Amino acid sequence: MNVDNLEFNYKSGNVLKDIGFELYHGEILAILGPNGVGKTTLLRCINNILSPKKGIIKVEDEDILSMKNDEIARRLGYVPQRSEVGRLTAFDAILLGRKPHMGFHVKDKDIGIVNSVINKLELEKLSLRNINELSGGELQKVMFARALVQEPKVLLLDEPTSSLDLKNQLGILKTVRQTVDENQISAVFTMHDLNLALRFADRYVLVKNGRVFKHGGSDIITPENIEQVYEVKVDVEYINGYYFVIPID
Amino acid sequence: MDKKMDINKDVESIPLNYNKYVKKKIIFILISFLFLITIFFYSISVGNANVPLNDVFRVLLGQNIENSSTIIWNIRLPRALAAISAGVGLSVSGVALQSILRNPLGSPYTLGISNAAAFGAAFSVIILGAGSMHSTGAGAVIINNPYITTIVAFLWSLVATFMLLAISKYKGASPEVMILIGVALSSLFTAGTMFLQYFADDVELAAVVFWTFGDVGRADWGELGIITAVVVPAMIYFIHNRWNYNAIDAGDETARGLGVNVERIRLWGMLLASFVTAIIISFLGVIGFIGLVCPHIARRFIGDEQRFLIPASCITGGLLLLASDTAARLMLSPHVLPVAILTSFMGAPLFIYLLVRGYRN
Repeated sequence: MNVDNLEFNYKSGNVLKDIGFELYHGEILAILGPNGVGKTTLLRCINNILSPKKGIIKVEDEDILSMKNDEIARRLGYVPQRSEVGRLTAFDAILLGRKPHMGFHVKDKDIGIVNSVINKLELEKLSLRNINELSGGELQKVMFARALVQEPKVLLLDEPTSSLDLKNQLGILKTVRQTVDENQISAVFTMHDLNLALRFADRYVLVKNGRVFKHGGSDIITPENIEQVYEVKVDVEYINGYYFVIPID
Repeated sequence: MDKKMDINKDVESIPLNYNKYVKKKIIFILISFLFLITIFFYSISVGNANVPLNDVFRVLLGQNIENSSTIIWNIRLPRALAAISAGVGLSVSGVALQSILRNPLGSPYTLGISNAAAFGAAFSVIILGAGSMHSTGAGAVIINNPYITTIVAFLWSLVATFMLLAISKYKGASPEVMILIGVALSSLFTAGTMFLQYFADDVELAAVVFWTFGDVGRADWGELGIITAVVVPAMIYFIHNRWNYNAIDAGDETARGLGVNVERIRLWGMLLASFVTAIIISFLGVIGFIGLVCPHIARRFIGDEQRFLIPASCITGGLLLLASDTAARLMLSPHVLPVAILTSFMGAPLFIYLLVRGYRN
C-alpha cells in the first residue's frame, strides 16, 4: 500500500496536507498524534469516504481513488470508532460485511466465509445473540469480523481499543496481529495509547498539524519526537522486550 | 485451491442454528401471509349482506351469482384490495423511512406528508370549491369533483416532500434534524388547515373533516389500479435495497465503508416513500399509524434485519389495515366507520404498549 501527497480540506480550512507513507504485506501501521489532528480524517480519506483534494492512494498498485465504492470496499475494510447497534444477531451483523461482494442473494459462499471468520475469532457462542446485548469487547470483535469478511487487502481501524478494558484491548490487537500475519494483509490503526501501539505496530506515522511529522519504524518514537508532537516530556524505556513511553513531569 | 477447499468445508458446517433461525423467520412471514389471505376472504364474505364463503370462491373464480357478484366485484373486492395495497404501501414506506432516518419515529405521518395532504384537501374544498368526497360506504357527503381534491391533496403532499428533500440535500441535514423538520412541517400544515376551516361554511367544513377520515372504501377499480401500480414497484425497490438499509442501520460511517452511497439511497428512499404515501392519502384520506406501528410490530417478531423485516412489514401493514377495515365495517353495522378512526384507536394503545415493553429492559 502506498499513500502519496494526500491533501484534504474541510470547508473551514486545511486539515491534511502532504501526507505520504508506505506499508507492506503483513505490516501494521499506527497513526499517532494528539486529538483533533486529523487522524480519523486521514483514515476516511484513505477509503474515499471523504474525497481527498489531491494525492494518490494505491493498494497493490491499483489506484483507489478512481474506483467505484464497492470496488474500494472489496479492498479496504473499515471499522469506524462507533457503530449503531440494532436488534440483529451477530451472525447477520457480520454477514453485512459481505455486501460489497454480494449480488441480490446471500450465497452459500458468503455464509461459509462468515462462518470461518466466526470460528477463527471464536465468536461461535455469541453468533446468534443480538448485538445490542453484547459487551463492548464482544461488539468490537464482531465489528472487526465484519471487516474481515470483506476479505480486504488493508484493514482500517479507527481507535479499535477505545472503550475496551485491558484484557479486551490486548485481545483485539492480538487478533489483528494474527490476522495480518496469517493472511499477509496490512492494517492501519489510529491510537491514543502509545504503549499499545508500540507493542503491536511495525510502522508509525506521527501526525502534527495535519502533516506527517515523522514516518518510520519504532526508532522514530523518541522522547524528542513525542515532545514535539504531543507537547509532553517523556522517557522511552525498554522493558521486557517492549518499548514504553513514560511521561515525566 | 486450498482456500476453496476450506470454504466448501465451511459451507457444510454452517451452523444448523443459523439455518433454524432463518427458517423461523420465514415461517413467521408465511404464517402472517396465510393469515392475511384468510382475513381477505373473510372480509369479502361478511358485511350487511353476508355472502357464504363458498359463494365468494365461486364468484372470484368467475361464476355469476345474483346479487353476490355485484356486491363482491363492485364493493367488497376493491375495498379489500385497497386496504391491503394501502396497508402495504404505508407500512413499507414507514419501515424504509425508519431505516433511512435511523429513527423509530420515521413514518409518512411524522414527516408531515399526511398533514400536507389534508391541507391540500381543505384547500381544494374551501378555496377551489371542489366540494366534497365520495365513499362507497357512506353516501352522506355529495361529490362535486373528487379528482380535484385528490390532485390538490397530492400536490401539497409533494410540496411537503420536496421541502424536506431540498433541506436535506442542500443543507446536508442529519436524520435527526429531518425528523424535527417533519414535525415542524406537520404543525405548519395543521395550522394552515385550521386557518382555512375557520373561514369555511358548514358544508365545506363537513367535507374537509370527512376527507381527513381516511377510508379505503373510496377506491374504485381505477384508483385501486393507480395505488397498486405505485405500491408494487416501490415495494420491489425497497426489498431490492435491503442490504443498503442494513448497512445504513449500522451507521453512516460503516455503510460508506461498505461502499454504500448513503446520500443517494437516503434521497431516493425518502422520495419514493413520500410519493407512495402521497398517492395513497390523496385517494383514501389520512390513515395514521399504519406506517409507524406496523414496522414496529414486525420488528417485535422478526428483529431489525431488513431481509426479513421489509417483507414482514408489508404483510403486517396489509393485514392490520384490512383487519381494521373489516372491524370498522362490522362494529356498528349497518353503519360503516372510516378505517382511520379504528387504526388510531387500535394503533395508539398498541404502540404505547410496545414502547413501554421495549424500554423496560
